Amino acid sequence: MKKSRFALGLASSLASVSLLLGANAFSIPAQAATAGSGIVIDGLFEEPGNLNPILGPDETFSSIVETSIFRNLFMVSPTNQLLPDLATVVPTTANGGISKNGLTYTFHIKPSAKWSNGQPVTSKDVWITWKMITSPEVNAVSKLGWTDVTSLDIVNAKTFTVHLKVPDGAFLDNCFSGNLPGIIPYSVFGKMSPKDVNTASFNHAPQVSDGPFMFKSWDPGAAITVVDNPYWYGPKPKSSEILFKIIPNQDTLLTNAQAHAINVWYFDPVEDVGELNAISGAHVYFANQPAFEMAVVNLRDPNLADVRVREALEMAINRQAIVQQIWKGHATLLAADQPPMAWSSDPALKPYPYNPVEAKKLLAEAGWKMGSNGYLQKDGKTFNLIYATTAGNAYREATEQLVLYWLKQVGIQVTIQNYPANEYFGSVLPSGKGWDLGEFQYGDGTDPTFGPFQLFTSAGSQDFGDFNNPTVDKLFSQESVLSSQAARAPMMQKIEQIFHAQLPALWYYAPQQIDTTINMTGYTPDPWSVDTWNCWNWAVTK
Amino acid sequence: MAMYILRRLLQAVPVLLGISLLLFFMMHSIPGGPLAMYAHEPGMTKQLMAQLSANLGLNKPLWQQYVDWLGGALQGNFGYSYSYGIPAAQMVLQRMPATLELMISAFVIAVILSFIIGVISAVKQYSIWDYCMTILSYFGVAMPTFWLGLMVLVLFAVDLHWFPAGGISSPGIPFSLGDRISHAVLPVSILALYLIAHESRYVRSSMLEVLGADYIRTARAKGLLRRTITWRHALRNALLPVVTVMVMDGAYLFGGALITETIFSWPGMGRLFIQAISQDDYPVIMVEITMLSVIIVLANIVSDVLYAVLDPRVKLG
Repeated sequence: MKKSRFALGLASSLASVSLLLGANAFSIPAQAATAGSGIVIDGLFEEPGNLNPILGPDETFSSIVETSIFRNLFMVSPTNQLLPDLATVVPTTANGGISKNGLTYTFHIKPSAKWSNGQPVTSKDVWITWKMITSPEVNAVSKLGWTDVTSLDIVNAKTFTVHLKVPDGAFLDNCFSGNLPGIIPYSVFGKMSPKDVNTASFNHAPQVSDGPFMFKSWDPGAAITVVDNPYWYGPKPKSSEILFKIIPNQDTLLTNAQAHAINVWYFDPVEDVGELNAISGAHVYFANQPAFEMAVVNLRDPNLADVRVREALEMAINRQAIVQQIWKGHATLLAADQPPMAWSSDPALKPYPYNPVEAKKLLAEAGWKMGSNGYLQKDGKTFNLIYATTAGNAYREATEQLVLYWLKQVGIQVTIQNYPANEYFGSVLPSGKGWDLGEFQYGDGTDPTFGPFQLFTSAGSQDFGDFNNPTVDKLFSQESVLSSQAARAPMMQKIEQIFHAQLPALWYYAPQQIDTTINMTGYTPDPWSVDTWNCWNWAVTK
Repeated sequence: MAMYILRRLLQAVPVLLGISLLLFFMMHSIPGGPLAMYAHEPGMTKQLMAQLSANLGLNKPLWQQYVDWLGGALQGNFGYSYSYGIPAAQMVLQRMPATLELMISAFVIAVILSFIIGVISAVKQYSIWDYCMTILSYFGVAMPTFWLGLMVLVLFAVDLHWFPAGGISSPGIPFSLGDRISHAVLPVSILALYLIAHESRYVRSSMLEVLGADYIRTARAKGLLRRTITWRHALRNALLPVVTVMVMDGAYLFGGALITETIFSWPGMGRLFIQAISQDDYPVIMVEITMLSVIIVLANIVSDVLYAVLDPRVKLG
């Protein structure tokens, strides 16, 4: 009897205590934490893999945190201008920083640049960065550009020269701008064996950094905290801390924004824009970004090898409707791979029109005739395409339904097949099997030539559609050794014209980047970097 | 009894080896692979991918990779996470306290309430209470966690501001027990609701079976109090099958709550597991599954032994 009463009592007490404690005593703790405390909370959709700016894999979420604590020689402004960061000046041929043959670069580091332990940032730090990135044992985030460096000579503590095998027009963009890869401290890595870099404790607790903030703590799965760095050479941060809160679900991120439990949400889903605008104290930012959404065509399929068929597909899909209905106008139609904001884009090229009548005509010219089942037939076979993309992506799934409808209007049967992202990019697309049209987005960095090279040249590691055009390959090899954008632009425009005419992918649109801040000032979207590029300017208002 | 336990433990060894072998080969046969996350990196070439594969030990024959893994695992070295570059076992152990905090709280509340609800439903069979609890059970089982979790977040965090919108504690403030409890209330309630929904049904059906037994009729005929019959004589006997179910439920707690931890941004093992699967982080997947397999095998043994302890008619041998 006593035991029964005890059990009942315990149960009711536990239930009531937990409910009462939660309901009355601890309401809105996250909001209370930000109020007046100078802590900005940035909601991260994924936990970074590491915080070492030279280590892979390349993740946006690592980059967000790293940009707040590590700087590079140069930074890219929102208007795509290369500006000095750790360096005093951007080297050019005119100022003597780049030799006339484009093979030697001279760099000067700011005298005031210091690490968070008070030691100066020196040429030795850049030297060890180069050594580690180019070591085969280091799983570097990118070796692009670095592998062309033949030597790095230290002139003095604040000056060094870099010698290249061949001229590289994108050398500064690829090696010394932004934070992937960034500069690592010699004091930590100078005596470390390259094989130990991948598992160094620094990767998850970088105690020495050179950005506006420095590392404070990392609670696995929960949050990463950085605090202002007293040795930073730039303007004093307006917040004492930034707390990167890991929230691995888009819907939960939205509820956190609505509950004012975060101040920054970078890269918001377009479908949440209405709800984000309704949050008090919220500011939703839209910015054009150097990215292109497309459906890569699998040219191994003989039906798709005929360019008239690819042109018909492009004209049969109402891409303007996708932009209006799914992206609510926050995207720009593309003529080919280059977003209009890229210096390499050809302004004379116009997107294909939506013209199902012309599409039917082109398909008829290619030998396709309407069958009794309502679909096109050729050699006794129905025109069937497998449309694939990443699973669980709301706007792509909506796009698929529209594509299925529009292609049916011209007599093409579409089967939708979606895959988890790792499987899609790791196995399905590279194998060339299980898909005919593969939709995804490619985000260009500061150098807009890199993406199309990777995707549509015989030397590119992601030529998923097996596109092979000797003219394109030759133009890429020619432009890559030129150092001025003015000289490279006509070649890139020629490549874009070929892509427009040959359609190795169905060109869709360049989506806008959507970010939201809540009760915060100082935020400026930079499509060439991540949200934290100017985080010293961030300040909470409530 | 000791010999029985020893024999069962020895039998468990080939079972666990078989599980690890099967899982290892199944995991590697899934399309994708851990190198997929490197494929997008600037300047990636086939040669660099081959170098990465060698650095991660993925270029060796599969059987050799398994032997290497097994040799390390037997010495407590489960390898380094491909995504994080830290020991996989350390990653899992870091997340374990959060998972146990969530799961044990939910489990304790669920067990207590399941007994109360199950017993009362059985005693008052076909009453309004019984029907209400039956409907509640169906609701608890049928409601998708991801939907219900979001709904309670919207209601209690966004609209009413009673509880925080996920996480294990408030960011930027020192540890406080009250703060931890306020963060735990919503995810614990969601998990407990599910557990109560099905465990209370087991208690109810077990109680109904016992309440119809001859010795209960005899007890009533002797004039014993109804409360004494229910809680002392009937419940004790009804406990036997329920204990087995609950021990096994308890074992699964170590796997973490995959969806609840994700919806509520709870930094536990379940969320880590989902992340590891999506990134094909084999070492982390192997640690989590191996650990869960060991616990489930042990829970099976404990459950059998417990049954014999509780019921003198059961002889182990």
